[in-house]
Amino acid sequence: MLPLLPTTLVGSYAQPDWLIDRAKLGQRFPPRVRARELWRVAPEWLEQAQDDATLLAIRDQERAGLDIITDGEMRRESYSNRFATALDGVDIDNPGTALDRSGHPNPVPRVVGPVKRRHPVQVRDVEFLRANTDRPIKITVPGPFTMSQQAQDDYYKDEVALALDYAAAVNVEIEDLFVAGADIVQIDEPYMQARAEKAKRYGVQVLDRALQGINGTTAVHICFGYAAVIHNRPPAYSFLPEFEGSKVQQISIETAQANLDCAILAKLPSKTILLGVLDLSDMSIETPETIAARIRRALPHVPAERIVVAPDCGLKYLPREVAFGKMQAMVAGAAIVRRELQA
Amino acid sequence: MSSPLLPTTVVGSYPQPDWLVNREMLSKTVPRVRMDIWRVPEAWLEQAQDDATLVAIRDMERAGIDIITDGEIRRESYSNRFATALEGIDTDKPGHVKARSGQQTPVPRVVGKIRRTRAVEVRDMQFLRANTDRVAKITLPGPFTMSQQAKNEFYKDEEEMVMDYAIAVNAEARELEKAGADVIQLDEPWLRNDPDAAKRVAVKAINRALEGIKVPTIVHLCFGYAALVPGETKPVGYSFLPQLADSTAQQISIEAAQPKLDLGVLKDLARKKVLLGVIDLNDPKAETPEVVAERIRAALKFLGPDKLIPAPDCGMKYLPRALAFAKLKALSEGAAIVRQEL
Repeated sequence: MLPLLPTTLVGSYAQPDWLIDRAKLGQRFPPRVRARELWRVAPEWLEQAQDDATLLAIRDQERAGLDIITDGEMRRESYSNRFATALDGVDIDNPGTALDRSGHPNPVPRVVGPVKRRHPVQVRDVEFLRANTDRPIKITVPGPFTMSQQAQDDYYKDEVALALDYAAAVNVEIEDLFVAGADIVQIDEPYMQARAEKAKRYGVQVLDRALQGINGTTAVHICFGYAAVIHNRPPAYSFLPEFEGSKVQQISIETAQANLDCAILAKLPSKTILLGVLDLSDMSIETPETIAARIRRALPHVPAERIVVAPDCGLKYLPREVAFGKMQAMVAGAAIVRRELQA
Repeated sequence: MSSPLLPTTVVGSYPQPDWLVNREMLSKTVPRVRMDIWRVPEAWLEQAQDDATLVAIRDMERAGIDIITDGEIRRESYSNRFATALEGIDTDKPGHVKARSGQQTPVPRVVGKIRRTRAVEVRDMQFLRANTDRVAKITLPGPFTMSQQAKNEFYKDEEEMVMDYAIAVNAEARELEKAGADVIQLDEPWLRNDPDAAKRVAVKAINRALEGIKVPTIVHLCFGYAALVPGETKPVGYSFLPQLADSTAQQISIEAAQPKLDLGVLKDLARKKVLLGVIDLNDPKAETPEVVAERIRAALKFLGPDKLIPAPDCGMKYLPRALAFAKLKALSEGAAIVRQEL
């Protein structure tokens, strides 16, 4: 049974330096094709090392006091490429190019045939997480809209058809992830903000296709890009109220770094809000009172019963001790507001 | 620090991950001098060792062990991290001694007075203390064993060397106690290597090493790692055990499961608590909790339940990790069965 204002990560946690070259990771755009050279551990021991790093991520979340636990995405080079490069119909060896949300070209999977899921990709990850914590668990999958934007289409010549096939691949994966024991599955769709015009045209249709027939609790995450990569924030989302028309139950947004006007949240009256309250551009650790104030900003627009407290985005690029300190602050900040509300 | 009746513990080491150390290289010999078994580059090694230690702590906790260690994840062997950090040792040009197996083994060459000039395991202890709420034990190589695993080219009198090792161990033990150790254990497997010398100096050296320590202390002895010393070559009894009744250590740790030790020897240790090995590390299958319970019951015929601390026979360094975890789980479940009966 979750408390009022439960806490969770968006998805990723800081990976250890012995596992991955964090300096190299931080100096480039998030990989869309594989970036095997980032791993510091030899291929034959990599899975064991990733498993152990996952145990550490679980342990840190538990010790910080989070209510809903992820696997920290320790096995991933980026939030999306582990799944996106495991599909049929994409050529990884001869990648294409697509513009990143910053406008810079980035190598991406080249779509050369029908996009299909070849085999379960993250089922073992969920089973491992389920076996190693007693708390509710969440797993993230890259969203179909975002994957279609992080690809070069040499086959469909129809962006909606391409996105819908990505959605079908995500859909069968989500089914399997719930069977494997996930309590919540979150779809990461940062590009619905980056490509808001397209998202307005067919984003919800694609998202709902990914959720077709799914009965478990689902979330969608949308943001302005990693603080470490994208430095400027617009004052408001270009795509957000549209989610009210989707069947997804929870919307994960950033509010801390962007200093978001939370009035917009009133336009999502049926949704639970994963409220981003950790500013990931700031390497100092927020005080619990700062966190509490950020939670309070949302309360006039969303009842506390529909708020889950979270960071703005994944913690992948943060130094581990900063990430841990911020999680602790987040838990303490949520506790302050919980006490006020239950007084 | 209250423990349940029949508290379970580990002897010391827990398996190191393959991504951290080359376990194949490790499995060939127990290093007495430094050996580069590490797979992680120097720049990230400490972080990797810390993280692997957290994984070991978590495994011991999840298995239900009451008195835990740091798994000795930072060590190449139980003794060489401390033994090679002392002054008076030439580690670059090692000497050689004949090991139990008859092999010539490189060992620290003693070329000056043995002195501890810096803390060796204190950070390890602080790290363990900061990362578990359970009773925390740390092990140190015993002075007699270190003197046997060294080539003396300095001391005229071997006994003086043993006692200098004891002084070094004592200085470390005092700081480990301050760093939060609830229990301190000396590993003295080489007591049987030279029973005559052991009879002359071992108890005196152990007592010197433990001087002034207020937390419970243990001396561990065994017949060698199951992975390296085959069961059929293990003796059926200890050549040096009743003598330890005279040491100031409150607890004695012995292996019993693999050699099927005649537990009658426990009567010689009536004043001590006994860490009794009830997990056979040569057996590639995990014991059932019932087998563990049976081994505990057998020991209870010779000593009271307040005197018995069930443990594995020895360090678990050489076991596959999944097997070590399963064995620890059986250990804690087996102890729980007998605890219920009492």
